[in-house]
Amino acid sequence: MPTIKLQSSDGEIFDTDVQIAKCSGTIKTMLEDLGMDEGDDEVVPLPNVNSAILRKVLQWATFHKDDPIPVEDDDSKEKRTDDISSWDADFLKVDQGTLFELILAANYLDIKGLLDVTCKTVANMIKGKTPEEIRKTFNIKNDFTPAEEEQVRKENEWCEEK
Amino acid sequence: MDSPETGSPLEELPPELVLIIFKYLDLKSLKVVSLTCHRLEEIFSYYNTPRFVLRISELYTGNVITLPMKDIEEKVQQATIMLERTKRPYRNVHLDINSAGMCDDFDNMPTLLAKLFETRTMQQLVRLKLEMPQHMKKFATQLSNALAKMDHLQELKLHYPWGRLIGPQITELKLVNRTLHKLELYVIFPSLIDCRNLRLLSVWYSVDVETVVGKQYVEHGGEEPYWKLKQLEELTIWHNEYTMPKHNDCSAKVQFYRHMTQLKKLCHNAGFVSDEMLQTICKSCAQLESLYLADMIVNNPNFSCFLVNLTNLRQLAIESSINVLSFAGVRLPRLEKLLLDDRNIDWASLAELKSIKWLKINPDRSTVKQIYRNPYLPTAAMASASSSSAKNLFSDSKRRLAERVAVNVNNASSVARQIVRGSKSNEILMQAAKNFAYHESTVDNSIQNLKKMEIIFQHLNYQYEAIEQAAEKLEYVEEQVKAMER
Repeated sequence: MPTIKLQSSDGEIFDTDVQIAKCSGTIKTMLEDLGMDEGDDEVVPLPNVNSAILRKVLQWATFHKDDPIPVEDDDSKEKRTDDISSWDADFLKVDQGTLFELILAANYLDIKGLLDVTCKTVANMIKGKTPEEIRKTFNIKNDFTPAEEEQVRKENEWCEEK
Repeated sequence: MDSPETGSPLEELPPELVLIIFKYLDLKSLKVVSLTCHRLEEIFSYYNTPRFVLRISELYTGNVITLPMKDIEEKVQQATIMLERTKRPYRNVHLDINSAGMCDDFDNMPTLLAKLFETRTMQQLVRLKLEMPQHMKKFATQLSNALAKMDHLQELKLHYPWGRLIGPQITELKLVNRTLHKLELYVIFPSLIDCRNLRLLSVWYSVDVETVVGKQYVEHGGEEPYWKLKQLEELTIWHNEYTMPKHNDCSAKVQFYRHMTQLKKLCHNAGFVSDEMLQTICKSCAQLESLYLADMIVNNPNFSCFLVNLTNLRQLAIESSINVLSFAGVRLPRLEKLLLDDRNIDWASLAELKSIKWLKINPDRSTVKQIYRNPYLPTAAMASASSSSAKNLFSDSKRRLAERVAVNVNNASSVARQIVRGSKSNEILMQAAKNFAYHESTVDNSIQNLKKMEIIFQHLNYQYEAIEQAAEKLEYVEEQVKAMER
């Protein structure tokens, strides 16, 4: 099976199956549009992804390599978050830093499936919490004055679903 | 990454990624998120507000229908203050002051509402839903002016309180707007509509629009000094038993449809459609793709000859027709959906509609209609609906329910059959296994036979060799016999 060399930001080289590397829209486009020949010994540098994260990403891509291509769905509706597979849920039992780095990497590498599942995981961490609990969970500093907070709270009361 | 000095990874995420996370949250959770910090509040405000509706209304609870006027006034004032301060780009507003109901002290309200409409947010609205109280006449002029200034408005819904009287034509209300695309009017009808982008109009429980606007065309030689509607693409006219036009003169209506040449969709529940009207509609509105007629009295037995002109027609619904509907000789090449009632159909002629993909024949609605039309039946009785009329009212849905149940029962029985068949498969398997077992002994037999044959073959070989040896000896014996002869 043809392979491709991916280089993480810290210089580690990952010899990867081309089929798995093509889970990433970015790499797929690079291979197809820039005419990088498979089997060449050229190295694809990924300066935005470190080796720890790239390893995780490739682990995810290997497991999901036979998944159907996700379809673009309607943006207007609120989407489900309770459909994370148990493998993904286990895979994402990581510290928050890693989770957010995976979101950034999935976005940079254009891997829709991974981006969706990581964002869903974060959404699930937000759901059903109070503002204070959310701040605590994500280490957010409250930069509202009490008056500002009250203003936002009041304005929110006027908002309704369509 | 998690230490307090490095900040929050959620806060540092680029907005487009925060928005992806937001897509998985409902409004309730989003409101909570917006209360955590400035940055997330800003992202929510900027990107998510346009999706939501700003609702300005004093909700009444329980049986209290009329609220004290000062409560409503206060709500409008609060909304004005909020909209003056807000940074959120609201695009949809629902202003409901209907609950001001019959209040007589409406005098302050026009000034308060005018102030509300002066805010920048209101002027940049895309969708506006207005539920007005009965006294809106006093505010109609200001409202007309405010609507004229809204340069982004695309959809407007105007509600007037529901009553048994035919909706008023409020002379002070003039609808002039350059961007408005879709207009829905409930009960109310303005004295002027001048919106050059208007394509979709629906008028509910209001004046007899066809006659009123039709007369305009009669009196002004086809010109439109009051209601500019010639560009309409979709029109809905809907009445109930109280507002249904009673008179049978349809000459103005014919004039109305003669000018509606751009219509693609017509939904008509405003009294009977006569021969002349149907003929005009089919002739003038040649672009029609969807046509709904609640009631039709067309005496021409060859009614279908009118339809021939509608080559773009995809959907046709005639809820109720006094006369037999025959589709013999009709060529409607694009007709896909057809709805009729079951009383008067020339069934054989339906076969000629070859492009049909969806056909619905409603059970007889006449009983329902008779109840619905009864002018002596008070509103309250309609609402609470005595048991007998309720039975009739829902006969249609009951019948449909019965059909569904029948279908479900059928499905269930076919499932059952499948299951039975499935359970029988066990027996078949057993039989197959037995057959196999039988065959096994045969196979054994043949193996043994083969072995025997092998042995026989060997024996034959031995015999052959013996015969050969004997033959050799025979030669020798022959020679000896010859020698002895000598």
